[in-house]
Amino acid sequence: MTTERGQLSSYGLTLEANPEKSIWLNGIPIGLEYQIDIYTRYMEEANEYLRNMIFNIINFNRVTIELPYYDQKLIHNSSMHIHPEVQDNSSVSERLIYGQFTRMTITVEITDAYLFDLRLNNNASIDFNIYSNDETIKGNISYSNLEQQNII
Amino acid sequence: MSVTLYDEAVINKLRSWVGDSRLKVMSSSDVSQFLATSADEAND
Repeated sequence: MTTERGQLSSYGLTLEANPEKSIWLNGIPIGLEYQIDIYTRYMEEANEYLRNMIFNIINFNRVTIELPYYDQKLIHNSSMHIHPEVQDNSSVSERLIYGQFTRMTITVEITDAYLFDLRLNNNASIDFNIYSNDETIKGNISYSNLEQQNII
Repeated sequence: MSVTLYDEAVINKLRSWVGDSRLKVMSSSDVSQFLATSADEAND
């Protein structure tokens, strides 16, 4: 995880900004690691499943998530990468009897994942006219603008 | 927390590869049921 403050973590990315609402997407880059254990009865099955799994992970490595926040249906794609080591952990416990099953372990990593935070702000504005003898001044006060400048 | 979204995305991807075969894909939250599920399906 990136623990330092960055542009995307603090200011975010403005996805939409209009007089009615503003939407920001904040994100912090993180890395995720998953351990995949393949359990089979015999070694031959484990090898076949493992072979197929490795081909699939390498050739189809895109991981797609849809952010559920505020019903925005934002899609983010990441890619997962397999670690080059494959471990035969059949001798490790978590079994009832010796030789009960074969266990192959691989590790995949998602290096371009994010912790996301979606912020929605409902904007409000006040239109005003100031009349004087000489001129008329028209203006607009936007609630969201004042809030961003820490005025209110 | 959006980490859960990645967990589900990876599990769903693995499940889509496995399809309707006899191979079961279990997430970390299901893994406590691993031996129980095997025994039940074998009518032990």
